[in-house]
Amino acid sequence: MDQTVEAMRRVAERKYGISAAQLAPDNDLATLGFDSLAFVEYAFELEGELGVVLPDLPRDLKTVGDLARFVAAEVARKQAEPAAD
Amino acid sequence: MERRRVAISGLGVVSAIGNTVPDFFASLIQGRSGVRRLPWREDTVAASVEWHDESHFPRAQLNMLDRFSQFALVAAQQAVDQAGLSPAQLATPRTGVYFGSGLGGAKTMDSGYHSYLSPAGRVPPTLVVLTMANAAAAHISLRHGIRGPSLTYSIACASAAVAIGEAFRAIRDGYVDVAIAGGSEALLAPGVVAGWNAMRVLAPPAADPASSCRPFARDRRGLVLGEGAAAFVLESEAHLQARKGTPLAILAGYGIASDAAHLAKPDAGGQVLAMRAALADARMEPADIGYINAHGTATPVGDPVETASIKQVFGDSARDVPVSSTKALHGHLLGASGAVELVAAVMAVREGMVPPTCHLDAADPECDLDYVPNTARPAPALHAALSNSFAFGGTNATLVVTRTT
Repeated sequence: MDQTVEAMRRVAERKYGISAAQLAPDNDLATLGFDSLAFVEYAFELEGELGVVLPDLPRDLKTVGDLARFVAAEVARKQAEPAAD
Repeated sequence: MERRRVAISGLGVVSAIGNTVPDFFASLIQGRSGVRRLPWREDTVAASVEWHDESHFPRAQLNMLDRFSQFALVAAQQAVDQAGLSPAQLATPRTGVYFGSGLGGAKTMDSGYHSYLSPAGRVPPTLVVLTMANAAAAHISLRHGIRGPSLTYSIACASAAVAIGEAFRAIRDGYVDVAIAGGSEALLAPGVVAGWNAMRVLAPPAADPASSCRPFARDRRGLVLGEGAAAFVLESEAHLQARKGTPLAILAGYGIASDAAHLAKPDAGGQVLAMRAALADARMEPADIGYINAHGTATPVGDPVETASIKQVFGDSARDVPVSSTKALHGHLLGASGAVELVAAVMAVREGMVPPTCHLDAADPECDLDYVPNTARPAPALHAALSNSFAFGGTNATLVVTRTT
């Protein structure tokens, strides 16, 4: 989870100039300026940063914390998969 | 019937030789070239723009802006600022955006395909909206709340001239009162440049790379790609007077015609038709024109054809009218060229100073007009100028500008 949040902060700063403080878990994603397209782009950048492929984002992700939990769960699922050989 | 006159009330430019109109025109007059070797492709020269995108836009906005849209927004803002239009005066259905581009968001497309074909095979979700040809016009409309037409013209090297000409007609015919018109191009990307190289129309680097583009010269070797944008605020004279604005020049005529001859090879037939149509539209005779900003790409084929076309239109007086190609310095901006070169023409009539054709030591024997070689020429009586833009596909567009009085 911490690793995911760190990646979210790095990408937000690099791509959007959003500071780490603004990425508090309770903050609403919409208030950070993420419309639906920007949100998809943010997810795309996170995929690259974390080396995962995210499924379609659920529509009920409202806050920074919602997104972090969703992404962290996907990262954990990937790490649990047996390594391909 | 009296026609509505169309004034130019604002100018803006982004180019390899200056990112403001005064810098751009000073470079033209002083012969400062923006042509250099591409840092990522040493065998090719181009006129690339010095650009630090974060000094123009917040990082969060850059995600939605290809380079061609950035150039367009900055040029349009300069023009709006000079015109002195208030946000309320722009944000109406009586204002339109008319913009040209040859390839739209070419750099984003190029890097997107590169990424797609890499092992990761990923393409950014913004690829579609950054690359679409109308992105620049759309961003101008969004930025200024413009509610009238937002139109994009893609006619290769005539894109911007056609966009300006169509905006001119829309104002004259009463569809809109104000237009932001111009063109933008930013295609110095590896795949696109490879295409131009494959076509074998680019000039190789000269010993001094800055002098590689040599219009009308005996030793010309081809065109040099450029990038950038230029924008104009066009306005009905009545609208301008009502808001007590200041005209910079008058856009007096527009002509457009097609060669219907070849996809790439220029043809005098369509060029002559376009110039004659623009003069007729302006209700002027060839003798009224005191300067021609030529299309003059410096290709072996193109320059003699344009010379022959000018001779057909101007007859015995063809050698009396100064003709110059400013592409020697700013390169060929393709879908933005008609706009950038109209800035040169407007400034020439405003300043009474004809910009030279640089790198012209000995003219081609087939190019025997007065090309104002290498040194700018004072022309205090200059009243009207004509600007040519001739496109792949065979579309030719000509614009005529005059002083305000």
